[in-house]
Amino acid sequence: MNYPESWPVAELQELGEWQTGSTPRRSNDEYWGGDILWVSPKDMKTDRIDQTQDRMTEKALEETNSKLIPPNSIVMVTRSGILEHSFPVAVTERPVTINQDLKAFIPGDRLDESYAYYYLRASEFDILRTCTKDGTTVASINSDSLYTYEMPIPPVGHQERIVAKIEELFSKLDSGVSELEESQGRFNLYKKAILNEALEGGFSEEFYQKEDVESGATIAEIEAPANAPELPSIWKWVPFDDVLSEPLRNGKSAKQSEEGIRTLTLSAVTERDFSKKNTKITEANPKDVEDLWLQSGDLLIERSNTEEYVGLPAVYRGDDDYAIYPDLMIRARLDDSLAIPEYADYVFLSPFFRNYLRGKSKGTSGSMAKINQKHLRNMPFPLAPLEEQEYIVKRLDYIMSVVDESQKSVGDELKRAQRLRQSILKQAFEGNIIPQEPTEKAPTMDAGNANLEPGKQVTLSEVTNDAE
Amino acid sequence: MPNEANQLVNKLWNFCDVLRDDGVSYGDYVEQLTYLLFLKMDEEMTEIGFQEESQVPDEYNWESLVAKDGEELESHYRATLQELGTQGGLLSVIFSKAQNRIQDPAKLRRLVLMIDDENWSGMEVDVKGEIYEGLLQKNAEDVKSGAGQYFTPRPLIKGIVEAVQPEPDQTICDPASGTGGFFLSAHDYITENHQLDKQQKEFLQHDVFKGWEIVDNTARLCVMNLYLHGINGKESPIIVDDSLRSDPGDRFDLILTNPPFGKKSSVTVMSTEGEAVKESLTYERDDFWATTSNKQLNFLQHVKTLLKIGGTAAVVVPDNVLFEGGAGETVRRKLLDQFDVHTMLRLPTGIFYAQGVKANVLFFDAKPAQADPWTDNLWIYDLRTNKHFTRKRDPLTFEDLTDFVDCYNPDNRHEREETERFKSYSYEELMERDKVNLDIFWLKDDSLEDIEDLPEPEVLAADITENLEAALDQFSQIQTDLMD
Repeated sequence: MNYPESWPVAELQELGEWQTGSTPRRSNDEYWGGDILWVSPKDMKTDRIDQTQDRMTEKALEETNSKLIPPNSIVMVTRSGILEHSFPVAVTERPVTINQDLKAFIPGDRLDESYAYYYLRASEFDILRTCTKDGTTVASINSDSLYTYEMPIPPVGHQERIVAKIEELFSKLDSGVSELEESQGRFNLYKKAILNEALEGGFSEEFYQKEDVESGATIAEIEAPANAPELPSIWKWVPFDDVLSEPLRNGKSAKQSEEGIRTLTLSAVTERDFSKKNTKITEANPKDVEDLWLQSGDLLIERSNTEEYVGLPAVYRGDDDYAIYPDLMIRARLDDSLAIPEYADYVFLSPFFRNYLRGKSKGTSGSMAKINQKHLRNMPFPLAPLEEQEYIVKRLDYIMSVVDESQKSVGDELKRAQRLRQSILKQAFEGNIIPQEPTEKAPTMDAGNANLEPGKQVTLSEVTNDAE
Repeated sequence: MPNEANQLVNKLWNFCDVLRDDGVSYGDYVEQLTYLLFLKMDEEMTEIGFQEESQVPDEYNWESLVAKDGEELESHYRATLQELGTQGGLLSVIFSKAQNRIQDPAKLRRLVLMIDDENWSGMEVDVKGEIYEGLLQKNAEDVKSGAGQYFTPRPLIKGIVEAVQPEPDQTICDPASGTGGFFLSAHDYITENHQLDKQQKEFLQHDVFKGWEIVDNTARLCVMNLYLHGINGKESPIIVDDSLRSDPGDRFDLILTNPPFGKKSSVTVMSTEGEAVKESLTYERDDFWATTSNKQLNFLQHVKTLLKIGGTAAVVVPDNVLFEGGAGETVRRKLLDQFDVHTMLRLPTGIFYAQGVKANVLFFDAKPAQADPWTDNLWIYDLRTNKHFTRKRDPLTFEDLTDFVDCYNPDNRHEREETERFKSYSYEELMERDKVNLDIFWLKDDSLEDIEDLPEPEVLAADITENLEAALDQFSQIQTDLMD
């Protein structure tokens, strides 16, 4: 980083005290389950340490070489696989001890601990690049490189201003990010809500303003499923079986082989992607599977999967006879005078029918949820006039495409926000965010270590008072 | 609004549509009405002896306008506006930089006669006040003029006033007056709930209210609004200035305010010489706890200075005042320590004219200095979670706020009870939160939970829009901040 020239620079070892950690003997019950926080890498997922998974006892503190580290120290992971891509750093809010994979830095007088913390975060990638040790089994940071790592030290007042500005900007950034994350969740709900609405005839009004349609289907109506949405009067509840042009059929799975028959994998439906990557070649017997070749417009439904995925549909739109489908799918071929595959697809995707089928799948044995052909045949299907089905599909295609695109750009912005965070840190330490007050003098370095005070000593009573 | 008033608003408003073809905007029109109405009423009041002597020189009075026609009327009207702007006192605020926008003399004449037809002083204060408020509201709804930024929803103001219950002998301040909504509501509350003696009446008329407004035009509308409601005197109750510039030294019993929400923290304004100058962003004030470019934090600090010991403030603040780090944290800590911050109302979205605004009302009392923190418990009322308002279809009404007022328990706010929407947080609990973040919710948000009972797609779409707008707001603030 190119920090301002007027800022003196010092090595971290000149700016405070370093401590290393250890693990009291695990097998000694008297050492564990006490009140004293003991930080290990798994506690370092936050930027402020006020609790840990493991706690040691006062006895452990007395009898082992573990030392108490005062609040407002900086702890960092120096040995862990995580160092291959990131450098976890945190500020302690309470007295803690640390394990041997961590080091603690107790800032002296001239250093604001939050300033030091943000500086280390800003330097994350530089530290990983310059201080990591080669040739060890677990990635680790070389202590000497870390102790001599340089930090610019503007006057303490200015350090505080930099921290205040970073925190102001970060709080806005956090708020912006959480709004974006919240919107991500709501986009998913929106897609569900709009599907439900479409099946309740939510688009009917606008449709019938344009078209004058009569119910063409002569199929006998059946009773609506429990808690079903109320359909427009011109629609009918019919058994799904009645809109098929041929009986439902399960697929077939066989061993993978070099040559043979292209077969879909389950992810073709889960991901709604029928490209080659979601197929494999199997040694299925061509004679057994001659009825299983896909045709454009086939609706495939997952018959067995986790509860989350069972009953999930996808429409195949590609070359005829491109592949066959596996045993875990059921194929539905629709009578094109009655139902459009894409319409049926949306029906199966809607929360109401997802729940309906999920309900049917329960109570079967094994860890996987299963539905069978009978469940599907008897499933009441909301049959809209063909022209209206077309209209609904067109409207939903449009809405879904807009939502998907928006969701994707929100995802991109979330990534960009993380970059912005790093960029703000860098700018702050390059002196670009806050101009230094001209009246303030930078601390002189002449005195060397003389004006450094080692971190405060913490007494045991302070610790126990603090712990609930 | 009474029928009579309604008809008049419609009549006046219809004429505005006529003028719009000549390029006269809603804002311009309300301004012209202000000038003419003031002159007409001034004449009436002098005639009936309500005021001994008019401040308006005879040659520029209402009669002089009615007597003229054609080009002569137009040029006389122009001269009148210019002259009255230089008279000082109330006249200056109303006529400052006033210009005629109705170029067609025939139409100007029609407007003059329309106003001349009515006996305005004879009308109940409420009626003419409501007529003017009605016009202001319509003006605020005019998206193009952007006037809505200054317009606080009236039901919200009423809810706040009902909670703090102004008393006849209290002084009341709004350092960001806008068109004077808080003053009028407090005025109504006092007259409706108290039998005032002569002295109190005079006090109410002249000395209770004091406000600041930075925008000329808005100050003008405010003064006229108050004038029509019977709050008047030779001096203007509104000072046209940036109230944050300095501590005026005045202290008040009650401060009710909704400081402007800007998307940006910096504003470029035109100087009197017509050059674009950058408004000063940070205020170096000894009485402020933290120096910041965040306008709302500055207003909050200004309000705490203006508050008399024992006085109460109700300030509308956006969410970022509750969560912002740096200066925001300093201000929150000091406020909780030195003041009794007792109540926060989390406002629903969709009630302000600006889009995506997430706001709250902070209620706090000024206390004498002491070593211990003054705030014991902050009571938070959540009027936001699972509430959906839109300005047109489901506007906020006073009924939506009555439960809050009940919970606030104005008669004895030290005796309160928790409800589903009303919860108490102790000082210690607040201090333990990272950066003393007061952005607290506890209710489950139905449109975030994946439950069987899905909200309507419209509701979800509105929520998403709000998320994105709020995110946009934060990121553009960061952007402006980094550009400065």
